Amino acid sequence: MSDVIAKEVQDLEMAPQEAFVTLYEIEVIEDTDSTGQSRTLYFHAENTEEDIKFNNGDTGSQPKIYTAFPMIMQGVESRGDGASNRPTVTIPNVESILRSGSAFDTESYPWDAENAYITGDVVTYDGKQYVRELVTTPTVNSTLPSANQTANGNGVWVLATASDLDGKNELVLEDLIGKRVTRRQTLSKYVQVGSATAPSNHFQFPKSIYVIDRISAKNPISITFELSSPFDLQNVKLPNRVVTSQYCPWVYKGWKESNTDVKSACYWKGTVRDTFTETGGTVQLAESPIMYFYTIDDEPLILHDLGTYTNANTVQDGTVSSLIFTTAHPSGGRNYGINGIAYVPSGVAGVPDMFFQSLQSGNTQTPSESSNQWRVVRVYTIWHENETYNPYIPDSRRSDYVYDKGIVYKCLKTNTNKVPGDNPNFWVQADVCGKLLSSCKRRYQVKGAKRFTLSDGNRGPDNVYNHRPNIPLSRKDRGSLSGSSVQVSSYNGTARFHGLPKNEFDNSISLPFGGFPGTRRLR
Amino acid sequence: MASRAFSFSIPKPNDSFSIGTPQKDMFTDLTAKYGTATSGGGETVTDIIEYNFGTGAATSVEIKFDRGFARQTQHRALIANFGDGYEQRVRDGINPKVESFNMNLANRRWEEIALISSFIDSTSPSHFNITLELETIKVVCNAYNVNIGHDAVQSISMQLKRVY
Repeated sequence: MSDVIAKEVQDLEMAPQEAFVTLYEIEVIEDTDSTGQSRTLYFHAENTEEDIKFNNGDTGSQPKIYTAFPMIMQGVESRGDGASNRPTVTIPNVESILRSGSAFDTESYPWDAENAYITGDVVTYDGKQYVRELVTTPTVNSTLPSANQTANGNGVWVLATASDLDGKNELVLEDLIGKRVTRRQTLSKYVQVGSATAPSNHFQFPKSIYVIDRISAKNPISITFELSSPFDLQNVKLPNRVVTSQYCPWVYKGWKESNTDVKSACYWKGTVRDTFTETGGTVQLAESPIMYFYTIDDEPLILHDLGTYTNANTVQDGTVSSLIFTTAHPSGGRNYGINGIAYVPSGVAGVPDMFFQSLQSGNTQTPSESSNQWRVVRVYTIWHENETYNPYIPDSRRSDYVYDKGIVYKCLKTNTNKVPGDNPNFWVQADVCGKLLSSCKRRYQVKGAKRFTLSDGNRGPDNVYNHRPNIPLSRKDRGSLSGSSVQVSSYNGTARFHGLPKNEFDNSISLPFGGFPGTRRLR
Repeated sequence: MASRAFSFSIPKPNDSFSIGTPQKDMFTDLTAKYGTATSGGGETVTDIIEYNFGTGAATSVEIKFDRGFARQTQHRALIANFGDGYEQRVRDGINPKVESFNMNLANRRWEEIALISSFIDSTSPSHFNITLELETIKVVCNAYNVNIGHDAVQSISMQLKRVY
C-alpha cells in the first residue's frame, strides 16, 4: 500500500472526490516476463460506461485503460487463521466479448488465448509455417525457426496449427481456469474517467491476487468463478521438488532464460563453459562452439567421420595431426598415449567393434570395459538420407548412432531416410543424462582433449578436437557427406565443432545437481 | 443560454431508417398497432406522425413533463461504524448518486400517448436522454403505466432511473 493513501484513509472525513474505486485485472496468458502488455485484460465495474485510466504501478508510468465490464467480486477478506477464503468473481457468460475483434482483443496487441501465441507472427521455413510463443517483445524476428530453437531471446518457434493461422482468438471461458485475477482499490482522485490524461501517481490500497480455481456456477446469463489464493492450489507442494539423494530431478538441458518455471535448473548447453573474450576493450560472453555428447552411461559420443584407422604402433598422445583410431592387435603390444582412441576389431579378446579411450599415457593394456585404464566411447556419424542404419538387438548400446540438427540419436529400427527428429519409432535421443552426480560432473566440468589438426587446415581453440564446418545455408543444421570430407553443422547460426572430451575435469565449475547427495536414505 | 426545461425529445418515426434505430422501430411498432390503411378514419400511423410532428420538416418533438415530476436521490457510501459513535464515510465508487424519477403526462391526446409508449417500447432496455433544468442525463425506463380515461384522452406515467 502506498504511504500516501495509507495516511489519507485514516481520516475520519474524506473529501467528496475521494471515492473508493475498484479495478480488476485478468491475466489471459500466463506472465512469463516483465514486459507483458497484451496478456492482461483490464476491467472496471464502476457505475459508468467510460474507460477508467489508472497507472497501476506495475509496468512503467504508462496508465492502463480499464474497460467497463459487468463483473463483481465477492468474499474478499483477509484472515490470520483458518483456511484462506475463496472469493468468487461473476462475469457475463458471453465468450465473444473477449474474442477476436472485441475491444479487449484489439486494444494493444492481438492475442490468442488458446495458444498463447501472437497471432500473425508467423514465418515460413522449409515449407512449414511456424508461430512464435509469446516470450518477449512482440516483434517479428527474421531468424529462421527450427523446432524448439530459442532465437536470440526472441521466443521459441513452434509448428503452427490451423487455429494459429486463422487469426482468430478461440477463447472459451474455461480457459481462464488457472489464470490470475488481481483486484486493485484506489481513490477516485487517482484515476481518470474518460479520455483525459490519467494522474501519473499510482497510490493504491494493497492489491489482492487470486487464481481462478474452478467454475462454481454457470447459467445462460453469468458465470461464477471460484478463486483461491495462489498458495492454496490443490496438489501443489512447496518446495515444488521431490527430495532425492541419488538422482537429479531436473529436466536435462531444460533451463532457459525465458523459462521461469521450476522444472529444470540444468543449464548445460553441451559445451565447455562460456568464455569471456575481450575485443577492443569490450568484454563479451562467448559461447563455446564445441559440442560434447554423452550416453546415459556417461560414455563419450564422438564423431566417427573424421577418424582414420591405423595399425601403427604409435603413441596417441594428441600431438598427431588428426584423430586416429589405432586398431588393437590380438597379441597386444600396442602403446597408446593419453586420450588416444583404440578400435577393437573382431578377433581381439573382448567385445568386437568397440572403441575405447586411453585414460593414461604409455598404456599397453589390451582395451576392455573392465580395465581402469580405458573407457568406452561410442561413435556416431552424420545422418545421411541415403544411408541405412541398424540397431544392434543383443546390446542396444552398440546400435548405430547419428548426429542431426545438434542432437545425437540412437537407432531403434533398421531404416533409411527417416529423419531422426521426426521419427521417434526409429530413433531415440542418445545424448541423455545419467542423472547421477558423476553424470553432472562429466558434462559441466568437461575439458577438451588434445588438439587434432584436420586436413582442411582450420583449427579451433587449443585443446579441442575440432572441425570447421563449411555448409550451404540451405543445409543449415544438418551435416552432410560430400566425397571424402565431412561437412558438419552450423547450429543456430554459429559454427559448431564436435569435441572429444578428456577424462579430466574443470573443478572450478559448480554443478547445479538437483538431487540432495547428503540426504540419508529413508527406508 | 438555453432555457431551463424538464423534457425529453422523441425522433420522428421513419420507415427509411435502418432496423435498430428508434425511428424505424417506432414506425414498425406503430404500423403494427394502427396500420397504414387510408380508410382508417384518421387513425393510422401517418395520422399519428402528422399529429405529433406536423406536416413540416420537423424530425423530433419535445415532450415536456407535467407538474408533479418527482426526483429521488440516494448516495451510495461505504460507512464504517465505530463503537464510540463516530463513523468513517467514503463514497462508493465512481458516480455514487442513485437517482430515480417519476414522470407523469396526464390527459393528452391518444396520438401523443401512442407515440410516447411506442418510443419507450422501441428504446427499452437501452437508455435515452432527458433534460433536467439545463443538464442532459441518461435514463432508462423499466416500467410505464397508461391510463385510458377516455377513448381519445389518455395519461401515462413512467418510472425512470438514471444511468451513467
